Amino acid sequence: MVKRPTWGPILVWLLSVCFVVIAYLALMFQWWPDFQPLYPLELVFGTATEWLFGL
Amino acid sequence: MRKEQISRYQLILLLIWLTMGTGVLVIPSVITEFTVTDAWMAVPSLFVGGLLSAGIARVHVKKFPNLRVTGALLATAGSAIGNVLIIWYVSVVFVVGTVVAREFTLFVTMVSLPYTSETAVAVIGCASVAYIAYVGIESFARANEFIVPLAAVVLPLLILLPLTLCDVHQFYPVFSSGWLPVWKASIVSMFVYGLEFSLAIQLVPNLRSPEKLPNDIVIAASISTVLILIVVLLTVGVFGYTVRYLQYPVLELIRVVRIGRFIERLDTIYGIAVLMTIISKLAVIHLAMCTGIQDLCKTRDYRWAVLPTGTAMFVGGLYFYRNVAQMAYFIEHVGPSYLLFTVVGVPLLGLTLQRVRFHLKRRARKGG
Repeated sequence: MVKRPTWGPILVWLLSVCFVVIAYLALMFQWWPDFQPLYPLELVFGTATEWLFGL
Repeated sequence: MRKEQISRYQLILLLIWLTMGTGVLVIPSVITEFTVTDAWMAVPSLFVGGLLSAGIARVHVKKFPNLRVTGALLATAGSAIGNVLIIWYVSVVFVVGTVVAREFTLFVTMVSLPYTSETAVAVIGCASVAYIAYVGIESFARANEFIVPLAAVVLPLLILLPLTLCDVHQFYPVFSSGWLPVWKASIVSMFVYGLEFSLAIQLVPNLRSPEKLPNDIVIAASISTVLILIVVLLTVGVFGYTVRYLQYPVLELIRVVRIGRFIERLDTIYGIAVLMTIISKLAVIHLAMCTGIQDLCKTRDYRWAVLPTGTAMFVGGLYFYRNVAQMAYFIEHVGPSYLLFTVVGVPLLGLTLQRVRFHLKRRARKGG
């Protein structure tokens, strides 16, 4: 008997909804000029780049 | 379902456009920010980055000859941690995609369509990239081969014509500020553009000869390095220190080419070439992201993810980086360690977890 995937289809739906929500949220963020979603990345990896390579 | 496969030649072409797509726009301006007279010395670092990617690809195809990066992460780190690592990998590919998408919209609006809204340009770009990802890598790679004859005609012309304006004295004095500016100028080409070659590992199941992948990466890296070297030599040789104040040095270089009143404004040809290569680069990134999501969700096909992720990539690009300065900061100051951690650190973490799991299982078996 073939095992049917349980979580796969749910995850597929969740992710597709999630990506569309990201797209629409980003469109709304044009009225929020200080919107910086990549700030945590900039903080962590910006520091790491400075520490590793002196940039 | 028949597996889509591409030849070595097609892969090498895809990899060259993967670097050249935005590399030709960004690398000359990033390098000349640190050093002008010694800028050419920083270019071979792209090849070093390519070698690093080829080394990682060699380890991968030896251990997992039929798996993608995401499949290998699942196989090494197990289901739970493997999925977390896949989410990290997909998010990094997504962020890289947003940077490239933003470069696309910026280039189009700054160079050819200044009165068109960036959103409209992004919609057109997104439609093209999503369609390419939807038709699949095999058709895309075949269509991509068509660019080569065009490039073979246009490229020598674009290289030879500015050569008449080149001044060797712009490269003196050599080592005017020592090695440090050359090292700093090498970082982005080595750890951002050089490591982008490792995206090819995500295409392993689609390769006709995956065992040759490391060699193909080395070939693509050497061709790209030579092309970027020519570009940097020409831009510095023609503009000298003025190159620091130019947003797109290569575009300006081609704009100054003029022979009599017959040959001028060749920047249109350059613009078309850049757009084709950026779209090609975005398509590879998009395919890598969608196949990663396919492995995460364990679906048979990736095409369901094409439109939502493509839309999110272009829209994210517009609002993650509001202007050129924010994007340049991200590429220069975040990109190197971000990609180094993802391309080298994450697979290493997966391999370590595999060893740990192996030893734990063996101990449990002995104990039982």
